[in-house]
Amino acid sequence: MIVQTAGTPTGEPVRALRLVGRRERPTTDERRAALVTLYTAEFRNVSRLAYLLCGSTQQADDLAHDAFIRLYEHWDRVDDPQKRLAYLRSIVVNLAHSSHRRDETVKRHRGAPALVEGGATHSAEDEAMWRSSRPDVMAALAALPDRQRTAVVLRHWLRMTEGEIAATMGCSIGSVRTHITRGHHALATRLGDIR
Amino acid sequence: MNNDDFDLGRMMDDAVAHHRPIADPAHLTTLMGGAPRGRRSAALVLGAAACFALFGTTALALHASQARTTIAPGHTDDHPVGPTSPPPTEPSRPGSITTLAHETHDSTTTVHVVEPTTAAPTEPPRTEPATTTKTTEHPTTTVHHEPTTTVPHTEPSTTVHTYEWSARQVYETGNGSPAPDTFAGTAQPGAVITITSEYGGATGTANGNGQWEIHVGFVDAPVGTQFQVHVDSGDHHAVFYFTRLS
Repeated sequence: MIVQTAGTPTGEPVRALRLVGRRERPTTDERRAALVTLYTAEFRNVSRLAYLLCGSTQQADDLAHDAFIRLYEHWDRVDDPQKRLAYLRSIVVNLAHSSHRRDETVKRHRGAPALVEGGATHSAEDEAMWRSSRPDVMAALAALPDRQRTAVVLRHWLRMTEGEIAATMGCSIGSVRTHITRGHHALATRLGDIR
Repeated sequence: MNNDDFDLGRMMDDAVAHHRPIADPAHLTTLMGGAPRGRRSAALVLGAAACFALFGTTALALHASQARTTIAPGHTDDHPVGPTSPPPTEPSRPGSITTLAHETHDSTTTVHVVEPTTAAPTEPPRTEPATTTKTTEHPTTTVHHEPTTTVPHTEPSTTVHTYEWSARQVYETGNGSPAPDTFAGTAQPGAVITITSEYGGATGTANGNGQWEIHVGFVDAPVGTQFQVHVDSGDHHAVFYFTRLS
């Protein structure tokens, strides 16, 4: 009978086995440094994603900062540094969804006008930005339902796969396909022939 | 990726091209200043401080209450209780039905008793009106209990008894129709007590301990009419008001 024992060929015990499954928690300074690095590199893209989802530059910046802060608070949940950006985008999507739902509630009770259809109240900076950019695209995105707009933006602007979109939105791939199809059809109808 | 995706993506790129947010790490650091770990630590420190303050306040309050308890016997010197305390004195209230009426005797009625061991029962007269009561003033036992008292109330070799004249009344304490009422009180030993009223009276004498008790039945008293009963003993006088109900 051959019995395998833990140890090196020379018979020395493997002390590293004691560290198996043990996760070294980064210090506060390490987390802050890593977050600042990620923030410097990705803040513009994260803010632009939030801008496409909510239609307001100021609100987009606030959402982006909130997303980074939440990532910092839940830093230990994401072990892989490569997945932190995906986690950050997921936070942005959820925050934008919550913000949109909150704005809808406010509009329903107050009837506050919005510059962009379906969006929040916008400032003069938003109006200038909106006029100088593609107002037709922003208006068409704002007219989409929240889930469809998110799926279309993630699919066509970030070039994410359906599986990545499903993971980000927290739904099934079938739902993602449905949202993308319907959103694409609505955009084509509103923007004309986008082909 | 087909051309459709590319065109829509390019439109979105054009839409967000003018949005150029500037990353501000200092602002992010400011936002991170209130980290949860720091808030938890601050909350723990504040909670611990609050607990210490609460316990400290409770300990001080307990200590203060114990300090008051230790000095409490000093106050009992002025108001002795128990066997050596005088019976409570209440002024009579003419005009209303009164069950106790007595007067404080002046200093000329004070007698000197050689044997203090013949002290009378110690229960207050109001709770047991039929028994005799002797009131004492400044007994020597007070001196033994409070050796630190600086006020020399009494001579240590003699016991001074002051017989306080009093009269009280208890309704319907015997048999009969109507039941006789009992008048009792304290007076100088041998003093004659006379009870007079429009509908009857009686006379009695205080015993050697200074107690007296007289039973009087007001048989002829009309129902519903108030009448007076006078208790006299020398210079002392008390009035009781009666109304027969049935």
